[in-house]
Amino acid sequence: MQLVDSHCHLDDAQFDSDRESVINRARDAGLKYMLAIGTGNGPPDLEAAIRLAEAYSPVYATVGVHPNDALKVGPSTFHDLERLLQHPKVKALGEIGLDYHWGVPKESQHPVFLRQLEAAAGARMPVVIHTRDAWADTIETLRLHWAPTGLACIMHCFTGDAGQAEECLNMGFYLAFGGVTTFPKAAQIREAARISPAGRLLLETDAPYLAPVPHRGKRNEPAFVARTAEVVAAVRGVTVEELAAQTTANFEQIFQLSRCMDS
Amino acid sequence: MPEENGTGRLDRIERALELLISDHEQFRQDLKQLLIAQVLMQDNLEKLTKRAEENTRQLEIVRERDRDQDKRITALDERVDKLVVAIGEFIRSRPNTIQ
Repeated sequence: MQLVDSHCHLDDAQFDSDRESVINRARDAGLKYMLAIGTGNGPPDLEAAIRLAEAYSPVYATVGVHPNDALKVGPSTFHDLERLLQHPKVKALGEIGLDYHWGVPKESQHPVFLRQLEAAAGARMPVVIHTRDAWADTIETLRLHWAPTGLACIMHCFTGDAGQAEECLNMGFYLAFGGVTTFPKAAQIREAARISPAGRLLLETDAPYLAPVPHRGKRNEPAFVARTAEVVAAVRGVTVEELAAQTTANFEQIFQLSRCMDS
Repeated sequence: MPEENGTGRLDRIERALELLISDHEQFRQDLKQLLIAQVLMQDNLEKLTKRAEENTRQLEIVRERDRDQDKRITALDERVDKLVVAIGEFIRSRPNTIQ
């Protein structure tokens, strides 16, 4: 069985003491790919994930400015992003979006979000979207500025209901389900996972955050994506092996990864 | 009627002998067929054994090729990884010319 963690923060300081072991455990758990999110601590360092992708074969990277880092954007940030998008192991721009939870001014976040969508469209790259307490604005921005490109869009850590899932699916987006899906009170997320077409599903951990049950509250890591896979497979009435094969195929299709050998 | 009795007995013996001869002939034919079948079966068995040996030999060749392929893939992966690092360094070192 081969799985994919389509969203993890392997550069996080919580992994500093045992990063190698974490990646080895992921390999042992059957993870074929890990997509390391490159937002790091924000600009000017945009290469947090690239460094890991260069060091570990199954790791691919994104670059991007997280909405909470919007105020750190400098004059060269977007040019640097565009340059780094050409790196062979950079597969998407993300996580980008809108986050009204932590009080970063909306007027700072919006232009950063838009400029990054523009950069991704120019490079014909998929985007990984973060949204928190900003659903309507995020969806509207994506409807106007991203959906027309026809490029892939991944709604990271999808925690919406079936209706919100439909909104995304109608625009051709992908939904990535993480550890929250396994929480006892997350029935509406599981319903969204149930109704989503198989071809639009992805699995992620968001490690080191949001560990799935039974690791809830502890440090998350890519190997734990198997727990989320079990829950999503159960609500969809398929085997874990079927779900793993489907989500891995989806990931390979989005990011045009055709490595068929399991070396 | 002693003569008739004697003739009748000879006739019965003759018929019994004919049956025995016929049975024996049938048995000889069956045995011949059986021997032919045995020879053919032996022949086929030898062919099958040869084929199995050839298959085993081919399988070993394929396995050897697989091992060789695995080594090449590993070497290629290493080269790709080095290339990725080199391209990464090149991208980083390129002056930012976008205005």
